[in-house]
Amino acid sequence: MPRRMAHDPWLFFTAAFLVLAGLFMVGSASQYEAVRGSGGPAYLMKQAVHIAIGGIAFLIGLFVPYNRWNQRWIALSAVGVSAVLLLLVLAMPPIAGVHRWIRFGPVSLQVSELAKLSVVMFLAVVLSRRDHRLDEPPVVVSCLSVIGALSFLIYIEPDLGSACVLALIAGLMLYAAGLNWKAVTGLVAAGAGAFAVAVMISPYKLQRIKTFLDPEADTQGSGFQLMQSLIAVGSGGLTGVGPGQGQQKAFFLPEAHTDFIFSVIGEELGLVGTGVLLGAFMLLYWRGVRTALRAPDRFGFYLAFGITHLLVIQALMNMGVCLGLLPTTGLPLPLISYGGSSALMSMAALGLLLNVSQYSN
Amino acid sequence: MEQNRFRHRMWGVVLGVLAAATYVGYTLYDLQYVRAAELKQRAERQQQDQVEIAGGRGAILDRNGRELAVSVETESLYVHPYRLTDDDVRRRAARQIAEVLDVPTSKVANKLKSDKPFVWIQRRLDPKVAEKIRELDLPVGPAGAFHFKPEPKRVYPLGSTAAHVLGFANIDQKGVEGIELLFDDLLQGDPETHLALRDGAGGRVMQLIQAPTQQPEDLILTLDVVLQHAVERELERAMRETGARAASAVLLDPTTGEVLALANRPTANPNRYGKSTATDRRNRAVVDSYEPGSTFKIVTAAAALDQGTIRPGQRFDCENGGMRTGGDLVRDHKKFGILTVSEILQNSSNVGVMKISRTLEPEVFHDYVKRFGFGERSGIELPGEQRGIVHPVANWSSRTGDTMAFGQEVGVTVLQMASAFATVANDGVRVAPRIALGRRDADGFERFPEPPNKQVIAPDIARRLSHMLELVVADGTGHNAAIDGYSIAGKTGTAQIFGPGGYSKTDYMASFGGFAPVHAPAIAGIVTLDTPEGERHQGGQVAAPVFRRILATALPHLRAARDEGVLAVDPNRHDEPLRANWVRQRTKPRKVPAGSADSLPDVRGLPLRSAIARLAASGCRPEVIGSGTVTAQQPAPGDALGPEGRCVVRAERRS
Repeated sequence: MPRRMAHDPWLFFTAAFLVLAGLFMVGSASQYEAVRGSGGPAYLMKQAVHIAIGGIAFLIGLFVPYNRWNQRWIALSAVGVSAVLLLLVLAMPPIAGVHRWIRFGPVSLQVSELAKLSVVMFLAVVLSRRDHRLDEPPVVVSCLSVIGALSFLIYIEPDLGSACVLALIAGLMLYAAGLNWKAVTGLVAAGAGAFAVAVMISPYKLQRIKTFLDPEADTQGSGFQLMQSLIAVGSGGLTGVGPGQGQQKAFFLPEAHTDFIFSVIGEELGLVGTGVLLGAFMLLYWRGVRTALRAPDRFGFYLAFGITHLLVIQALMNMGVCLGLLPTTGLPLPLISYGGSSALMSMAALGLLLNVSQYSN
Repeated sequence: MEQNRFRHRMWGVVLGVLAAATYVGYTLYDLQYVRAAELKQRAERQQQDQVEIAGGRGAILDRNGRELAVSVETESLYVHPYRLTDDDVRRRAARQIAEVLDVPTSKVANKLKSDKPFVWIQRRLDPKVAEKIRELDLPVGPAGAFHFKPEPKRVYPLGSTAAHVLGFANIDQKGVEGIELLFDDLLQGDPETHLALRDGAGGRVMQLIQAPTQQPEDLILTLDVVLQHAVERELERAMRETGARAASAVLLDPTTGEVLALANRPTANPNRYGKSTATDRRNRAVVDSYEPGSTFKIVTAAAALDQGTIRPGQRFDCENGGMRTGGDLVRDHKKFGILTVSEILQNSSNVGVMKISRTLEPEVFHDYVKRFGFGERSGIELPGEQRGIVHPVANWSSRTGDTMAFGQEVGVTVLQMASAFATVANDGVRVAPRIALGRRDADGFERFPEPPNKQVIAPDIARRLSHMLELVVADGTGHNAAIDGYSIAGKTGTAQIFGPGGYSKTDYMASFGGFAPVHAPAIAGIVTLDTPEGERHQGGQVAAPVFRRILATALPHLRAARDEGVLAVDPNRHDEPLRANWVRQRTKPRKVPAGSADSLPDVRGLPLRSAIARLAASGCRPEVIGSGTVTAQQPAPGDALGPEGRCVVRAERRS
């Protein structure tokens, strides 16, 4: 283990900026929701608590040397606990028609968020030891069965978006680890096939895809959300209508404070705001990739690689949904959207990434 | 570090991510720069609405400030049905609201189940009802399903009184008929422009962006509610007693042309305009024309007297009750022999008045008819006014002049006929009738400009005609209009109604027009009854009593001078002085002639008639209280006359 140095300040300040900007935007985007629900700035306060809790996870990630996590039992228990909780969540009463949250009193946990980070951790542990033997079937099969099982459990919540993200990140990690082309081709084909089946057997998902392909066809029905998002983003213009002044969040945009918070940012802060946000994520990406490349060991590389992509690809997918480039999923914008689980996992992941950066030179 | 052999693969991934990010960036540029304007427009279209909210609506008041139409603040209840997600809440709400509103539960329940984003449950609730609904513990308020919207409501406190004048304003406070329609802009003022920011759930947040620049104003009418009530009451009674199909009455102030009362039957209650028919709401006095019959004889007589083609005392052979014109036989209701002009009017002889009209050139007669305002809109501030029908001379048949003399082949409105009587009453000056007196806003009252006036016949001719009409009431067909203590001038009319089979033998337009007191007219007007049932159908029998009863209320209310039906002169004797040296109470104060202004004669102990003559001769304007012999006078004998030349004489009957 090389000498520990200062963490990457670029990474730190970019992350801090995103978290604070996110808090601000949650406050703005939820103002109508808040009135309808509990009648106060409830979402803002709650998100502040989420960030405080996320901050603890961040600090743990930051101060515990990352290679302490490089343990088989940690990798196995992370995916194990995720799997158990994913099974448990199916037994929970649905919230808004889906089984995504486990409730303990006032706390609710979105298990798919935990599962994503767990898979990154699991693959980092496994690949750092076995990437030279990736062509051997037992290694590939064990990895694929873990990824496949978790993705499937997330898919049946149902949360196809998170299942795709998980599979995609895992796939990228396997690819970067040197999976042979035959296997890569097979994996891509299998993933595409699974996606097609998953969509086909669910009418509402099929509808979302259709809507995505032709949003103008039915602007009152399922195309409504997408059209509203485009209107929000577009009406922001260059500089936006002003912080807190957006109108689209007033129930035109579904889930304005979570899934479509990027649209609210687009409306209120304009191209300047969205540009800065996209730039911040790209900065994060650059520093994350840099951290991975300079990581002192393979575990550090895979961990930084996985975390960076987990954050940035989710962010790009969320933006893609808001901009009509992807079908509607339920993905949050990491570090920005309202949501305790997302905040907790994203900040823990950032802590880990920053920790790795301390050893990258 | 021990390097991974496949490090290069990472660059592929990075490239992919950068490509995706670039695509996102390009899309942002496209949406927020290239298509920004279009999407912005689209956003505004769905988010915003410029809503014009009518502010309050000004009141309509009578000349004494009595409220005829006012707006009161009420609240309307509406619901966003989709926000009622809980079936139990919905059922409970339907039941409770139905109970408070006293409507079937199913009616409310259907509204709560509607798939529309917005449904009115009940508009313009009574404030007490609104309060009860608020107490029901329903989800009311910005986030709830139920909302109250303040909406003013038009109320007509006097119900159907002056309904045809007022017209009505609809549920949106928009004037639809009558004065409400014609003065809609003034009453309404500018609307407030609100920017309604809509939310995606169908709710709206209102934001005032333009306050009204013109506040609503009140409109003051010339109507006098006391007289209007009297007219309404008497028309109602006449309808009941005569079984007439319809009735109208108009009262004017002859010196100003102001309409003091205007009513029709059938009528409607503007508070419930939805339940009335167009027939009920028809302002017959203004929008319908009819053949006036004998009341029109005043025009014929006025024209001939004014032209000097007849003398007041001139006698005409009334041909024993019948005379031919254009092949038709014109009959009188009695066989008359030789009658004076006054007697022709008193007895309403068609033959006599026909002979009078024959002294006039058709063009001249036509000209007088037009000058009296027939065949033209009077310009009164009421919608839909009719011109009436006055045929141009070129279209006259050989009998037109003859029959027009007694009010056939001419179409008039009730208002025009009332105005003709007012013209005679007002020394021959026709003041165009008007009904809107002025406007009132926060800055105060502003009177509308005076209507134009025109001398139609010479003043002395008008006065002489007045006395002839006084005799119609004192000793003629109009005797049913006589009121003890007041001098009344008038003329009856019984016009056969012209229908598809010619003039009806059973359907008549019975009317009585007139004015009072004769020497200083305070009021002029006419009552018409359309097709009274039964044997009694003549104007003198059915319309004159209505006129009398109306005036019996109106004259004391207007503090009109009482006089003993003073016939100062015999109008048939053209060489006797007319009341030329009488100065009218209500016309402009006349300059008191020098020399006669210094002192008043002593008239105490004289009979009232002589007293008035003597006072008038000294240039004074006598006002009379009581009747009989003069007991007191003010100013005292020998005192100087006041600048207005007014003096009061008290008279009592000695037993």
